[in-house]
Amino acid sequence: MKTSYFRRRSAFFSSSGRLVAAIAVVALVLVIGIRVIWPGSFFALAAPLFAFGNLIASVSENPEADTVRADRALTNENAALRSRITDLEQLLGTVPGESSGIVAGVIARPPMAPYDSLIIGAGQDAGVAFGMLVSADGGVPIGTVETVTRGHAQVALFSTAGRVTDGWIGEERLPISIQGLGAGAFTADIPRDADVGEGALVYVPGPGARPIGRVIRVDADPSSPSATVRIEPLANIFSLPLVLIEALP
Amino acid sequence: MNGGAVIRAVFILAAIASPFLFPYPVTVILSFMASMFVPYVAFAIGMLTDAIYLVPQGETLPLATMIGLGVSLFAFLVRRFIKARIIGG
Repeated sequence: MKTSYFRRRSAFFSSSGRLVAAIAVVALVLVIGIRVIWPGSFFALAAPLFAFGNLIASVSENPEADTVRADRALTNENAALRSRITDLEQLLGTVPGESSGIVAGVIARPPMAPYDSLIIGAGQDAGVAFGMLVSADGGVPIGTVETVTRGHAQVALFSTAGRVTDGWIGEERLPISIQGLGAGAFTADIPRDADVGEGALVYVPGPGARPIGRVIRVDADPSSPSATVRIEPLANIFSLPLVLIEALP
Repeated sequence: MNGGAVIRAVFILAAIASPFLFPYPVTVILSFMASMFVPYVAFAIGMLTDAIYLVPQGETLPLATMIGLGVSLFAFLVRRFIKARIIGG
């Protein structure tokens, strides 16, 4: 019987390839470990690069963008105030108090982030805590604080694909489960005979009911007892300069 | 340092910096281009992106890592194919 003293070469992996693969696996384990044990470490390390990216963006920004942003903020604030007036008229005597919050700059946002998440420049030192409500211009809720470090925080947006948030729809405040679709969009199922049309506002609980989006389409199938509403967000998550962080009541 | 090494270093550095500076489609393209030089770069950038941006809400699949792994494997096979062609004539 012949004995071979030569190792058979792998068709796919050379010895250097195996070494690199081993290093990659070790790196994967390390990254996951660090992410679990110290979730905010990557934000702290990346902060200078984020600041550089924001500097580039601010230099190339259209000067009319501020006007458009202010206009959108006022529109959203109007919608929020209108819903609040409606609530106060219906619930006379249970007026919610004025809330104060923490203003934070947005360091990273979609589409830089492939998921619906924000990284903001305020953390535990500024009073930010896990679960706090995050709002955009005009008091439009956009998400909740998910991870906090001393100087930074990560925000999970309501529009994160697959995230389900309880809320209401329309002036009658029909309870619904709002499902995130990613890229700022939402969908929800409602009874087919519900009196909800295009333009109806969608609310989430905050201090009172706060609008987060507007119905742009209602898809109803005659053979189904429910209809699907497509919801566009009131806040544009792709151009958020600042956010407001408040504790939920 | 020859020109090829400089180009390789520029692509790899740009790919590593892109999750912090550019929209994610640009990151994917740069990772793919860098992977043509070093196949595992895309996988590493996918992990880095997930480490920074992934939130444990909704569908929490680490998509960036999975895409990076796919790009790395693709680049690995392309490189082997090209090497085999060059050697085979």
